[in-house]
Amino acid sequence: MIRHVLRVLLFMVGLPCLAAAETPAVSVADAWSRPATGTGVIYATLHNNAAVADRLIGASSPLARHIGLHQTSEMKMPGMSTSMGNMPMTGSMTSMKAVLSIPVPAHGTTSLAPGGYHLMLDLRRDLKPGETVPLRLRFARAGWVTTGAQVRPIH
Amino acid sequence: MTVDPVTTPRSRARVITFVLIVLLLALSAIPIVALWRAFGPKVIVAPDFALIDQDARPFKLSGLRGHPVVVFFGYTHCPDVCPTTLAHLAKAVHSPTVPGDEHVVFITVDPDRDSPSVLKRYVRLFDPEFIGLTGSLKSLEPVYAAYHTARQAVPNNHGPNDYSIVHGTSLYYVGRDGIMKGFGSWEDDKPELTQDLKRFQ
Repeated sequence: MIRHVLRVLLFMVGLPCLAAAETPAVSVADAWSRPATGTGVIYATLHNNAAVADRLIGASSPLARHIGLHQTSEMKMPGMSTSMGNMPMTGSMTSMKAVLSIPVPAHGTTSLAPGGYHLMLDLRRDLKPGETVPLRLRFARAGWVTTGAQVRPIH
Repeated sequence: MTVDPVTTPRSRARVITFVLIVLLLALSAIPIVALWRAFGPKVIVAPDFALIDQDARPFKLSGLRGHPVVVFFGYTHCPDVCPTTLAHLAKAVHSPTVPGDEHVVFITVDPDRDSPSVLKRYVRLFDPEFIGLTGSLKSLEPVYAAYHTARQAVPNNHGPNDYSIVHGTSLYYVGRDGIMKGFGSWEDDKPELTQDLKRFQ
């Protein structure tokens, strides 16, 4: 009898969890990568369907020893020349820094895209065009989200 | 009776005026040329360099004279900017609207990790015709200086071999004559790049 009640209770608790799993708080779209050797990259669009802000805090893939969250930013190097002769150069440098998390605003979208946020993969093997990189993204609130990143051919 | 038009006093005066104007224009061209040389666009020969290519063979930029060349500095452990740039260039050089004999030269800013064989595996991901160059830091530093670029290693958190490199991201367009024709940005995609490749021959 007690066992039966427990079973019903578990079921009642489990139902909302299942419902939550069907409409994830954060969804990941258009995850893609490039053919790579040694170091790889993943870009994606993160949608937060919840009314509270979330953060991407980690990622893992069986194809990578580890995955870092990174951000590229443009910087001006003090003293760096901005011209050669009198032809103007952009004079810009890009720096890439590891970040602890990537914010995804409430009901908002964060793009991981060239020149901004991206995932850096320390690859176990080369990535071939057309294959899919299995990927799990970990969010502070939404937990783990499973997706796959398409390796887009260069041409 | 016929009058010789050249020998009449009026037409002679006209000829003299014409000659004077031509002389004045010619004389004023001298300071204009001098001013142009001083303040006009300067012709810069792309600094030559001798490095090692992805097949461990010696390479000189001047060896590509006669071809347009795009020079770019980067490193193979760069996940974002360098592959984005090389992917854009790979698409642009295969565009039917560019001459097609351009060379893309990728010079490492990370000679410790980028050996010729590492560079070979890397550049052929984008285009087997791309040239990847390395060398000792001693031989590379004058090249960075000559191209007004810089590099700075920044440690990451997975051991001593895990580091990023801050580096200049200009594209350098060298013409067939070895003259520096202009610069581009790493963010330029196919439309801008094909336009630049057509302009900077």
